Amino acid sequence: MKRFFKIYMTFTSQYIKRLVHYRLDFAIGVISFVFVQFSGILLITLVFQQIPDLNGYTFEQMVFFYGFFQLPRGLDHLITDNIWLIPNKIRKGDLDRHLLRPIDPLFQIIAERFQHEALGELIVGGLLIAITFPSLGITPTLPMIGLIVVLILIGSLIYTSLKLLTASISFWTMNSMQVMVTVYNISDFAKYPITIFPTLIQTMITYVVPFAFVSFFPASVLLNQANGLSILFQSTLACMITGSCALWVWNKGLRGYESSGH
Amino acid sequence: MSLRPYFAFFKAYFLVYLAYRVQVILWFFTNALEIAFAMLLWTAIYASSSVDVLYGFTLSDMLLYQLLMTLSYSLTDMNPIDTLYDDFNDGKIAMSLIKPVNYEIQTFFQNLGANAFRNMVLLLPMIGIILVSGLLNSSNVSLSLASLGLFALSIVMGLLINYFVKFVFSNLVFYTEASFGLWQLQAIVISLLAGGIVPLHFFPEVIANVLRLLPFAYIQYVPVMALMGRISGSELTSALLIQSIWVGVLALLAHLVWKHSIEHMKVNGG
Repeated sequence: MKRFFKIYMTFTSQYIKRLVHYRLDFAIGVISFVFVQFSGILLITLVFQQIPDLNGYTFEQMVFFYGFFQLPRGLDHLITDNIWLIPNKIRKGDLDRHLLRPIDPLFQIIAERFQHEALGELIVGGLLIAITFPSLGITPTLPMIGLIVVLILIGSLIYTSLKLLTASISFWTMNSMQVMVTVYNISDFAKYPITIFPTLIQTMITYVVPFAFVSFFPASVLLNQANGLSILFQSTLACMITGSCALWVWNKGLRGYESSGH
Repeated sequence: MSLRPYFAFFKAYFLVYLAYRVQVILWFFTNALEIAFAMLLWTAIYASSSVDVLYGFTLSDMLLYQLLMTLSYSLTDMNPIDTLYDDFNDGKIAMSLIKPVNYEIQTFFQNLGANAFRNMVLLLPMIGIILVSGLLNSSNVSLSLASLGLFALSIVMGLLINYFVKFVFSNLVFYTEASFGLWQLQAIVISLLAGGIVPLHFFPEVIANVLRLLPFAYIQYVPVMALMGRISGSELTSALLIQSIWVGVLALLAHLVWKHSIEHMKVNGG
């Protein structure tokens, strides 16, 4: 464990050195993600000029859900973004390079890149929560904050698992990038309180692609609209199921990997 | 100058996409998911509203708008940033520049080839969905040969504007060496200013009026609003005129920016 941590830190410090060199790239990356958040908030703002509440949710609550959504997403994005390159590595045979080294290949791939662009999501998410929080009329206790932190970590792991699962399909299809994009985009529904959508959609993002556990349920717990312990149990279960599926498919694919030749 | 050699680039890109047929089916799912998300969100918004009409749009107008925006997005979609970045990153651009073909025209035709293939697959299902949905009737949109003709004209100019705007923007890859950040920034800014997230007339009037003067409004918003009969008569004539002016101005700008870039470009390897 200590060795992994040390290696990770070496990789990351190399990456940060590169970032300092390409300052402009860094700035553009962060700005682009800030812009994405801005457009989402703009939609909510313009719509709420015309309606008092959305299916019972106030403007502040909508913005809060939107901000909360950015935290697990940003955290996963910050640390494991390189999983997006797996389809490419498999297709081009680049995976060979990782297999030749004496550390776990999945760890190497994840450690290879520390995605600074995610700071845009984390900063905006944090700001939105900070701005809307006073108007929500809740005073969180210390255990509650601890629970929320755990739920956010579990949420990030669900993101990571779904990315790994869909990326691993590339072992059989050569390119599963589009599957990754499609599944990742389902998380759009979790940006807003899921109860505004039809039951079919709610069922899908709770039981099939469990993005509801990433932000909607944790945020509801914080708003005292859901039972914390029951959500903790369900989130853990969802995370364990997606996580073990992802690892199983990844390992199965890796065992059958024959490289694309050079 | 003959454009004949450039059709080879068009064909090559068309065939590249043909090779990834499974991808295309998945594209369809990605698109379907996006449109489903937008439509369900707006349905929820209208359900929570005490009035039936928001900013002059009924729910059915809004759903039709979303479908037509998806259709026009697909029709006008061009991605010179991918082409330029790939060629620049692996140094191929140096080889392309010494060949007796015009790189600007080559890039345009490559993108057009990709666009043609995507639309060949996506166009019919999208038109089918629009017709079957019955939204044309419930939004009182009557299609005629003239309105479809003007839509087609406006879409072609929209495609050119989209291409040139993105081409100018894409030249930043030569200076920043950033790609994904730029791609994302470009996509979100254009989508916002072109009415892809909310219709432009949902913005406060001062901002909406400024946006109507910028080229982005002429990529998708103007053609779609014309087809829906929201822009007509003399208003439509002046809109098409402004659109054609933007095509000319941006084509010139793209050319000047490119001239500047190739003089200052530093290519590593190749």
